[in-house]
Amino acid sequence: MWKRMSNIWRKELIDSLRDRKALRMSLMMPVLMGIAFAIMSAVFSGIGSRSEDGFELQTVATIGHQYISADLAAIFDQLVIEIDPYTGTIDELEAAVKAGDIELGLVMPEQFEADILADRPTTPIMINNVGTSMSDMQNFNSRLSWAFDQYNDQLVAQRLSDRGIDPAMLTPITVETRNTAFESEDDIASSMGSMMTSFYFPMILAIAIGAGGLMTAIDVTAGEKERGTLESLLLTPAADSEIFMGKALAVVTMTLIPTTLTVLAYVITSDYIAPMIWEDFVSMSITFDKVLLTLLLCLPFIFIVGLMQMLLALRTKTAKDAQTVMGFANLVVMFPMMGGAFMRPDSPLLHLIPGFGTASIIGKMISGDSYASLIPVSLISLIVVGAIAVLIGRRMFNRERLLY
Amino acid sequence: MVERGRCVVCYNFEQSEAYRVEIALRPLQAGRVTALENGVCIMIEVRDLLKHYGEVKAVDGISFTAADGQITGLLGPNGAGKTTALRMITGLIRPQAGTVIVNGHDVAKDPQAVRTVLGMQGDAGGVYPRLTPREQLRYYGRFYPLSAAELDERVEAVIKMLNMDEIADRRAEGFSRGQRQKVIIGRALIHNPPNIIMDEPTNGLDVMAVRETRDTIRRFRDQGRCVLFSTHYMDEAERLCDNIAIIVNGKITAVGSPDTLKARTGRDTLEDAFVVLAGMDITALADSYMEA
Repeated sequence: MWKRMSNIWRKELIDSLRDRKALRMSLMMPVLMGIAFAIMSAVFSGIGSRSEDGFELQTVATIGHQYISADLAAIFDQLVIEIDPYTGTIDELEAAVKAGDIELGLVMPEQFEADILADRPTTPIMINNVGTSMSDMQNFNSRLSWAFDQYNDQLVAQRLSDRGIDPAMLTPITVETRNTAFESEDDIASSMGSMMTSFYFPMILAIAIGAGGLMTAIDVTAGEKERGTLESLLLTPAADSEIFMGKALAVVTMTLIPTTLTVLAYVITSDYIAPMIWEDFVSMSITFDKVLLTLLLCLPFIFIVGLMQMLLALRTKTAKDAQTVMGFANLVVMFPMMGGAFMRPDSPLLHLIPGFGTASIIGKMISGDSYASLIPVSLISLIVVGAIAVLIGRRMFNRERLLY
Repeated sequence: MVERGRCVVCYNFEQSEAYRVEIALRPLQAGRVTALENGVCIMIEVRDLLKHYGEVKAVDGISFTAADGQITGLLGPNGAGKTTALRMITGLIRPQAGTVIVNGHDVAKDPQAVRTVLGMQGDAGGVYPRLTPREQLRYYGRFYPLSAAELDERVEAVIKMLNMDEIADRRAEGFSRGQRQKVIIGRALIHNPPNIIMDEPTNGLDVMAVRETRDTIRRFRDQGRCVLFSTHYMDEAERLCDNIAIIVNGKITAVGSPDTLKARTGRDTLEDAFVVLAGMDITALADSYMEA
């Protein structure tokens, strides 16, 4: 039995690897996608824009720069914020920020220092345009706000001390958080990147799993019917189940190859190539054991998706019909995986949904959440669904039905 | 080369006259022999085969035999039920009634055994465009119980037999219909089966390819194989066949050699004899040709 199955598996692999269209989808697309998503997740998380000292120099066009106190100026220096005197009016500054000529504006009140000395509230104005350059502006805004927050804390502490009150009295409870997902303080710096990766990673897996073996699934079923080779194959002594399983294994293999390539392209780009090109690129540090676990977790789902694609293609008469059907069918792969990547719930029940559970567990693993208890739940569900798919497939892969 | 008389009857017939008598008296038994008719071995026996698709009687209780070392033609117009009948003989389709015995194996009970003793060139006639003929032959050969050395030997023998040397290592993409036909016939022959079934083997081929295919069919007979093929070309049937079964609307209307059929109807050509035996008028026959 294995000899005939492996014969079919080997032939289908050779055939697929010689098919340029299938090869493009199976090899080139995942590699490019892995690279693109690795860079995207770093850029969106903002960690790629950090300088060696911690922050990139940012300039703030400021009206009334002369009113900035020495203590506040020291904080600005510490956070690498440069004050650029602006000579125009507030309206002109607003217009320049809106037009994108200036990234961030600041208006310091004339009585800023006097108000502080007199214990009166004072209100500097920060002018931004967050909609234009998302990650940089958010980063920069928060840094300027953070500078004022630090100055605020400093003033409050000073005023309380002047009145003989210990500033620590205002914070009776201080919660110290220790995140076990990270081995060192440096790792925490990439937590934002990990968060983005935990979402992007399952997403690119969903695309690779949905598209990787698609052309092979169509070729070994509807394609074989269309070419007129199926009849001669059915005339060999190979049993229907041997032919079906041989083809299914080829589809699984052709899905596993691009999935592996996608994962490797993502990890290699994120952890090795990008840090060499951009010095300030913070890698995602997806370790080899996580890569291996990701692929193992994906394997049963790949099997189910491959069978589903084959069974759907079997119902069609031509490869073109099959491609049309697959467009919709792939949503069955994408939606659960997207849901799992987004939600990552703790409820084991939702992890029974094939694809959803896989994506959720991988997301949790990347982001450092606990996931081990969810693996058996997801695996049991995948094995049951896989077994049902095999039974349906063997029933559908019937010589007489295939010919008409 | 296929030895004549591979089946049990012929083998024993050569061994003992007494055995032949015994066999002639014994009821047909699956797994042993098919039948013995006029001293030749019947390799394929079709009895009361029936296949209806709703109201359509694709095959309606047909019976005929195909002998060792002979070419048997299933002659009929398009839609007569030839392909359905051949598919039932190979076990691709289950009949609703009737039996098919090939080399003593009942197709319904042991389809895999039947497939090891026959090779079929099917109606669909496709090749794998990204594989070379040599790769296709090896692929098909691996389904049969052949050792690696035997498979190599068979691949070379088939390539030589079908004059495929020039195309053997070229990918089949862009092959002419004649070249594709060679690959398909080669695949059917790879396990050296004693029985060859061909479904309209010359359909759509050019003159040279038709001649080559017909020569190949004759060669199969000369090698001692049982050849069963379907056609709607009268001249082809007349030139090639030792025996003809005429099939019309799913029924066998006559069986015999071309000369017997002509003599029975008193006509000079097989085409005229066919019209009489098929109960068709000449217009219907012309329509059938036009469709083809």
